[in-house]
Amino acid sequence: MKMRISDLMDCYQDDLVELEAKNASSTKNIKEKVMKKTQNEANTKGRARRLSRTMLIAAILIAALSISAIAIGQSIAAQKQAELRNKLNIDGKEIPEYIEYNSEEPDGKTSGYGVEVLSSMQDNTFVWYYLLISPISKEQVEYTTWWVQREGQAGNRVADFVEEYDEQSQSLMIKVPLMVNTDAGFYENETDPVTFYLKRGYWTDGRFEELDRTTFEIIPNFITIVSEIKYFDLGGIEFTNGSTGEIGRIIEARVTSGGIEWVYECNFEADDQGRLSQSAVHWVNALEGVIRDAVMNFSDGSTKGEMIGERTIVEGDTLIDNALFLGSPIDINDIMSITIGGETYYAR
Amino acid sequence: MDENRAFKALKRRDEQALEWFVDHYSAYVSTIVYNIIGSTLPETDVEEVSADVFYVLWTKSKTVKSNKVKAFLGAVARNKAKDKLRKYSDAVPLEDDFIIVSDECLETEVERRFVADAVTKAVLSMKMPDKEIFVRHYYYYQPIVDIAKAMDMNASTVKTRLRRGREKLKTTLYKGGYANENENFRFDGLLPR
Repeated sequence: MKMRISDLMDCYQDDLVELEAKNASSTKNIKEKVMKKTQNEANTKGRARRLSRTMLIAAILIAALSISAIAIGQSIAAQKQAELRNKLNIDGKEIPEYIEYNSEEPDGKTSGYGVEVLSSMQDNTFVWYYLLISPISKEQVEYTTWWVQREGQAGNRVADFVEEYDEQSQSLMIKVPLMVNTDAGFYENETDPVTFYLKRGYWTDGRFEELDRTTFEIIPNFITIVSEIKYFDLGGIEFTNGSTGEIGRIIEARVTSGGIEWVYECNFEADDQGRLSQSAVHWVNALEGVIRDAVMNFSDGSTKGEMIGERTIVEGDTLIDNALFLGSPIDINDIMSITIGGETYYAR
Repeated sequence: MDENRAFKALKRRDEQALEWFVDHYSAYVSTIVYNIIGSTLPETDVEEVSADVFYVLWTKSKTVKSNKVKAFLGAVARNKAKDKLRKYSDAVPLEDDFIIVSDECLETEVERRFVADAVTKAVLSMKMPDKEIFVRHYYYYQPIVDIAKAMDMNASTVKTRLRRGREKLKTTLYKGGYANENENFRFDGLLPR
């Protein structure tokens, strides 16, 4: 396929070149047009607020009769965001990769329940979205699985539960990992809101049986957040393939606020579709045997273990990234070192 | 007001901060937009697209990292201008702009991303000034004569270095298996457990 090099550069971001202004448009004209757009935005919101007296009374009556479901929704969302910060142990911490959202009202409701995006957390490849589903009954939640699918695409992502069902607020918090540039996520340089289905269903005979679904929107922000990475040279820590006896080496660990990637070299095999062969699985198991007891050491003396990855990516023939979302965002500046097999390694 | 303060104010929806960014980056943004659509569309369209770029900054300021505003504006300017141009024409005039990429590497978005990553890595691995020339031409759509003037070189030197950049890019893509149908391109998203 013939591709333009310039189109291949779409995912590149540059802040290196000092571009000389040539045929630059009038700053005054651009400014006028921008400010007009912001004014239009303000006017649109203002118009919505400027109701006639009659309309106002009607609106008050309707609002009173409907017990202001939106306001309740907002207060639940704010409360859940606070609970989530506490649960993730990030209260008061400044973590750029963790973003909270303020929606005016829940999306969806086609199935009787709405969806609000509470917050998101990204590592190098995944963006994890924390969603609040409400109002939803205990019966609707029991024995069900939640899937997220981008509208018009085939790929699905399965959600994890963040907490038990909250009977008092009739809400459920779930976490969905969206992988950038896959069918179930969104694509780099995409900036317009993307519609997703949230599907409720259950597993039967090895397949997902959908009960109902609703929609919600996400504004992609992946490309605008560039995670700071701490690199740890591990000097080629060896691990042995239990099947073939061959030696592999762990070259490096890359840590961000959201996750860790182990970079290692070994003579693995993958099939034509990129699936790992049984031999390659032995490699992964061998690697995990080495890093199972690895811990990250923080400046306050605390440690964090359980750093085995959730996925494996094949790149070329010799490199595998074994990446993990850490579960709770961490302040990258607090990470001092990593200890593996009694040896401590410091960031370079 | 410095950029740091302007950025904080922008996040608080301060319109003066937005004006600050227009004052400081409108030349940069409109130059990118002009390079892409200037030969096809009138000046008013260049201004309109440039204004759209700053409006995106205004609406998405909470998701932009403070030290990445310029890169953000550049990327948005490029995308908005290309989108605008697509409505009128598919052609962005650049020299030797095409490269053959294996069809099977572009079947899914994941594969497209790996190709894009390979391109980025190839560009980053270029030495200066080849890298700057390559970025100016293929990212900023700057004509060769303008690059030559800006970098104080003659046009044939710029062409030579561009050709060298293209060769490096092709080599990287071939080596990665993205530009040869006989090579395998592989990806595994999930570890079997």
